[in-house]
Amino acid sequence: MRLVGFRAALVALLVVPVACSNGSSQSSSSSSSSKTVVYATPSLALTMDPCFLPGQQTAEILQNLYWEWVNYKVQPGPNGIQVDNTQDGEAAMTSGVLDSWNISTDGTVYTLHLHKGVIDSTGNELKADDMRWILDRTAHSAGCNFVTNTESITDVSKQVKVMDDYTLQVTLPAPDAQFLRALNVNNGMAFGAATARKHVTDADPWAYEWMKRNAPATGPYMLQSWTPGVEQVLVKNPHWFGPKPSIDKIIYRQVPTDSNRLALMLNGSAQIARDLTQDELDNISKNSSKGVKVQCIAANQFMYAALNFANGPTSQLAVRQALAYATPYSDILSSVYHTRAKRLYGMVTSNYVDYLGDSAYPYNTDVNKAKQLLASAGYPNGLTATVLVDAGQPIHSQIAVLLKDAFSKIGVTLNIDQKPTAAFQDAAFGRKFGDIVLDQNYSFILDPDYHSQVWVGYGPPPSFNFGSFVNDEFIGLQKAGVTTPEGPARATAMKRLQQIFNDQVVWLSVANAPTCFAFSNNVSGYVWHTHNQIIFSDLKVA
Amino acid sequence: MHTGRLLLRRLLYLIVQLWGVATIAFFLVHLIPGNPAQALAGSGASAQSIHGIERQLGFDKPLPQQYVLYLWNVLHGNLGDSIFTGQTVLHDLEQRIPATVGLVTAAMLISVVIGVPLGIYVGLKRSGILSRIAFVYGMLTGALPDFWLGLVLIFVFFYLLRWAPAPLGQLDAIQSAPPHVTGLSLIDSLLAGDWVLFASALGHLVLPALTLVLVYMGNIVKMARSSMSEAMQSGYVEHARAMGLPNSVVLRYAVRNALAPVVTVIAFTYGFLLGGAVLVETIFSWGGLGQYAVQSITNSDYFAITGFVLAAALFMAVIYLVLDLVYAVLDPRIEY
Repeated sequence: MRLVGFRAALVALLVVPVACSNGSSQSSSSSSSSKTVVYATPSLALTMDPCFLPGQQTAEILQNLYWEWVNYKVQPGPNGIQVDNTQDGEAAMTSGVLDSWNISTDGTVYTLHLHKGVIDSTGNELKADDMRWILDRTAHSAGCNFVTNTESITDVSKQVKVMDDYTLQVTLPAPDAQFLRALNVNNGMAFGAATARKHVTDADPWAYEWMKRNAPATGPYMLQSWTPGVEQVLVKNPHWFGPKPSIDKIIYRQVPTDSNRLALMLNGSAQIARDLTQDELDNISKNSSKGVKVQCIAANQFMYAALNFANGPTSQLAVRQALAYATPYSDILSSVYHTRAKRLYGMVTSNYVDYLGDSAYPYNTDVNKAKQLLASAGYPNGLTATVLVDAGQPIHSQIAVLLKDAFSKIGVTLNIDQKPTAAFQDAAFGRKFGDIVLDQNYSFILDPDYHSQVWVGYGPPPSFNFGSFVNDEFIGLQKAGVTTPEGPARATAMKRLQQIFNDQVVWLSVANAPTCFAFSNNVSGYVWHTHNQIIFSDLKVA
Repeated sequence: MHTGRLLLRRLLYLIVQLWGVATIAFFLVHLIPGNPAQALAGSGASAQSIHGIERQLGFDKPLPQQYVLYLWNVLHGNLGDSIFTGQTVLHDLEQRIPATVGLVTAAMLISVVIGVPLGIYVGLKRSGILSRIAFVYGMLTGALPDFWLGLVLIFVFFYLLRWAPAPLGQLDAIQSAPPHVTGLSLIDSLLAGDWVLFASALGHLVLPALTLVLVYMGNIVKMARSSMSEAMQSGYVEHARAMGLPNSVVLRYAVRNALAPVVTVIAFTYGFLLGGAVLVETIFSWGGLGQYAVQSITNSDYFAITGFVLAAALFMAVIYLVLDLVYAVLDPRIEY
């Protein structure tokens, strides 16, 4: 009798709360029927200050709270997805917080006209002097002054002049072929500076402290609440000057485990999910009957293996060429990316302005040619090399294994040096690695010159030029690319830049990696932007 | 020794312990490869930008100087600022501790309520189906990784059966948290008299707590079983029986003697649960201290990591202090 009672108590302890949970799970499903969207993300935005954007999730939230000075025109792209027009350079830029602009005939003076009535979420208007302050703050901030550097603004007090409440004049030392596109870089976005300036102190003249947790939103959404480690809730900004967004509320919910993000999508508890593995994306695609879909686009993300020019066998051109011919490009696209990626032909993806073309990259998988090149470099019996891999990126590990297998066919023994993310960065930026570094990234500005300066820059370490590639002609073209106005001469120079890159095999150009999201079927309108984040006001909810 | 003197002595030990923990944590954290300034600056930041952020954070100073400054700040109740949340670490910990303490305490209570009677029962009756189940469970429990079990439970009860709510923390995504009193939604919703929220919070607690219970209760069951079994075969039980004492009295003597080692295991398990919560919280998006620790380590957030380690050390120290006091009550022969 006593045993029966004990067992009953045991069962009750487990069953009663589950019964309670059943009711609450039903209530969660109601989110999909309103204009509220639950977005499952591995982490939340960590700051509200656009100057510092640690991680994609911070960038994504801030892209929706603040607005760009200028935007790209949008055009139809692959897979039915609308995309930023990145191939037409500066000509593709259209209004944002700036309504319009005039450029002097010599290309050195920009007169910028602000939209009248850009009111931030606290009710203060953004005016020309506030834009000047944001530019000054950006130029003075270690985390984001690369933006003003790209805009050729080094001294705001001398170069930026407020003409009236809505007009600003920027004088550059020379023409800048990337000026407008640099105004689209998210670290320099337009936030409610009129509000932020009220929180400036002598000790904190740029309101860094206040901006960490407060978001004077100028974009379509504003921050309603922020529960650290749990969620950030965005609601429509009542002062937003653009068209009213379709979604009323976005619950940006932290779900660190990717398999849980998948389960939430399949169960209908979330309407958007990001950072799913390729297998999980397949799972979503196979379960379209459950009202879910995958949207992917191989746009500007590049997967590459930087080769060490300073030391070891990869400092020889023939070895680098051999490795480029030994790389199993098709296998990587099919088995790692499940055909969602594209070939990467050289330094940049095909949607860059002044793209050299697929055929200019001669390296396709050819084991015999690779063996010949290796022998000509003095390694007829092969060699041993090491690849540094970020253990926090499972896809990178898969690629490293495929490279190891493929390289073994030409006698190259590839050791995989897998390190945790922080240690990986330490080794890569500190040039403390063997022969190859495997990494993935993307550029904000799809211009070969900007791209090369970031990823193969000539400055001292730490920089992304992991392989320490140095070439005088390349550097000369990089420097000239900044000040040469757009036109045939610059296009020729940009193509030459890419040709040198291909000739020298600076990287193994592994893949043009995809940007993917999972959506429920009632969410449509995703637009690909250069920053690879979702702009929620692009979306429509049925 | 009087309780007051015991407390005073343990508090003095505690200061030394915390200093040791703070020192080890500080230097170990700085040994971890990685540069928070690099992570904070994001992609595309120049060397100049990264050095600028290092200066802002004070990481350009020599390590001993940073250590002295850190200790000085800790002595003044300042655990530093989290590089990534922008808040003081103390504030971050205060926000997250209730969620974690609530989870591990719930798991602990369930483990004790089920585990101790179960262990005692199977200690008394060494045959029967329940004894066999308890034996197999006891064998399995040490081999079950908590994160794996959590994922399996989510797959079965949330995805397949749809019994459990989404693993989205303490409440459904569309539910607003109750007015903040303790920071634990279960208690706060109860205090607010919001029964819908309470039911939701209780439902959300089930799977993470069950994960911890299934993994960590085994130690309690095994210890209760062996202690009880040993007690029942002891000389004093034989003597009591020979004296003709009723079974209930004999059982009371045996249970009281068997409980002392069980209490020790309970205290240890409470500490282990805090460690277990690190991964379980991440899987269930719990938003507590464990999830904060994982995020801090991922971001090389030095002050946040050392703050977590200090908080965990304090938690353990308090548990052991309580254990000593309970031990003294259970066994008056024990002196400190």
